[in-house]
Amino acid sequence: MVTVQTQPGAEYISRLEAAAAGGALPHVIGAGYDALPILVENGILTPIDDIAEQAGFGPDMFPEAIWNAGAWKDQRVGIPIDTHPMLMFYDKARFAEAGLDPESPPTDRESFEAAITAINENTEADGYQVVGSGPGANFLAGIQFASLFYQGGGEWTNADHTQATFNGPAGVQAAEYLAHLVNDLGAPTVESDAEINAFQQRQNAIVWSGIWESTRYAEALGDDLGVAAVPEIFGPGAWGGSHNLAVTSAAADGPARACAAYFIDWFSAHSLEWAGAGQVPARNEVREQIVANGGGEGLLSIIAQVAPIAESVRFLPTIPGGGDLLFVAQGAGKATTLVINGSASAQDALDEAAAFNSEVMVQNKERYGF
Amino acid sequence: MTRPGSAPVVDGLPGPGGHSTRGGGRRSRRSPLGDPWYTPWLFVLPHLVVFTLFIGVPFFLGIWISVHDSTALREGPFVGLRNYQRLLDPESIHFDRFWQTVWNTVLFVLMSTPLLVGAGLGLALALNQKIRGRNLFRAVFIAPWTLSVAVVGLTWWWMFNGNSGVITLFMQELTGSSPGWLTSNPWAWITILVATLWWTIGFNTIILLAGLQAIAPELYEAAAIDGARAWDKFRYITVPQLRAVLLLVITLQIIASFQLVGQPQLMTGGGPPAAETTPVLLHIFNTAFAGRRELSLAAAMALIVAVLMVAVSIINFRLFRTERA
Repeated sequence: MVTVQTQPGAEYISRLEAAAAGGALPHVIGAGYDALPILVENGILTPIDDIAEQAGFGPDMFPEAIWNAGAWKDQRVGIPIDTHPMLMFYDKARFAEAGLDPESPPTDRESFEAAITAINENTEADGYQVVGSGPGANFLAGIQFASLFYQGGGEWTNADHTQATFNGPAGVQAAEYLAHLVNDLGAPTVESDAEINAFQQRQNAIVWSGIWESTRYAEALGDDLGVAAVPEIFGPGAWGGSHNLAVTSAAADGPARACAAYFIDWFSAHSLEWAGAGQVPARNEVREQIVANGGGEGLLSIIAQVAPIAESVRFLPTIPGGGDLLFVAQGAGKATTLVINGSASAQDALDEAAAFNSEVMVQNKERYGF
Repeated sequence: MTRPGSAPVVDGLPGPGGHSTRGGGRRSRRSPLGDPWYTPWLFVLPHLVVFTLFIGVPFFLGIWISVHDSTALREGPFVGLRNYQRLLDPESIHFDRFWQTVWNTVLFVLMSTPLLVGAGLGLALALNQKIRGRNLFRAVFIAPWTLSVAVVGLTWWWMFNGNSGVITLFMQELTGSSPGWLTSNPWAWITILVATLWWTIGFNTIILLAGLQAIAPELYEAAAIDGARAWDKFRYITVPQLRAVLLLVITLQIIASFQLVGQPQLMTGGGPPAAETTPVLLHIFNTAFAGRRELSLAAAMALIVAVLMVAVSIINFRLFRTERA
């Protein structure tokens, strides 16, 4: 019998640590790929090479980057269930009003900026709003930075993870582009989540959001909701995350482990239903099934449209204490908000963030031995 | 009259004090009141247990954690004073972030103390008059103080936030646009001050009101006879008479302001990116329990802050004593 406990996201890791200290861990957890290394190092998760082998999970079942993101120190620690990339959502009604073709969204820098300008001039909505403040700003600005950064061919760290390299040309270019939208295209700077609300209220015509926002956008815009890949400003690429299922130390062996294995196997096979939550299933055959069916109702049609992105999504380096939290929220994201607000130049802000991240990485490297 | 080898009899007092000891054994230690020596300890024991468990042990444990390299689940190796070095070395990457938050806290103390004490005094003066509904007003002003910081923070966040805050919408109706109350400076600090003022002013008011009511009315009458105006009465009678109470309120306010954490956390989330409203306790919390979970570094920060606050308290004490003398 499976009991599910949901926990608030912000406290997830704290709850796990408290549960581990009290000997009350669940048997299986879902976690972002970037949390896996530190959870393994802290003894909360156990490697699952045996489960993976037994159930037949292997690199041919998943896109390469997604499969690799669930490994740590050459052990399998997570079975991927989805990827959740950043997408461009747009308001078809506003597009039509501005004289743009609602069925052909922007695909590159020129068309993107032209669309913003057209909407600004011809409608009362904003073409684009840039998040520059508020509690979620570092993350939201950071994932937009990440998308542009990947497009510019950037690498987050050097090969042995002792130095952050996002302050290179690709990073500076990415941060400056967001500032360019504010300074040259008249995009207003808004509080975090304000751009999402404005999009739902039809006051903002284009938004770059994670796919997890699809549900509320679909509810608010109905048939006027348009979805597309993030335009190739500097090239192809988009930020994405990936959830994995992992087995905790509470199910290190015995019947609990067998049950955990069964559950993970079942979940992966049924991850079509997980797509209904606005996640792109990681398993190749499930994605192919969705595309073959043409999507169907509701969110599945969006999933069908963007399923190919799963092949090209890139991830942050998986190191303990790294991931989105370090590189995005406390690193490049924080620097980007400074640049958006004009408080610092892109190079200076990114240099400072990179120095900070580098020191943290070196410390973690020493502590966890990788 | 004593028997040989016995304890002296204490005159006039009942109890076992008059008993003799037999066989030259040890004298039982008895207080002059006749209670066993451990009685005072028994009185203090419940609080002592709680104090030791929740303040004493964590304090020493904190020092222990700060000289190791620990995370939440694993005690790491002993690293000596490395965490302190990181926080005290201007070249270190942690130095700026920590001391910036200390400065933010000091800034808040400097801004809030005159405001909250002054406003409290003003309200107390107003409530000291015989007006109708005075008791009702007193209740109204002290009521917010009974709320928890979470309620206060969230309520004011709802009112000030950029998307749906009633104050924001009101400003937009009035003037067409609204500043980002929670997301730009100086408004972020101002909203925190407003929320703190609304929340805690009742406390200062009540204490100052009690102080005001202890001032002998004859002093005011005598001053009136001598032709003193309202401002003179305030300056030459009220303030000197209130000195002790005022200093108490100021000291308490400084200590409370140093402990600012809830309002910025809930309202501004630490503040606008370039000019943050993160006080030092929030920075410690974030370092230890959010993000990178650096327990040892946070423990070192906490100890440094404790030392700073002891210094502030000593300065306050000195000030207090000098005034009394």
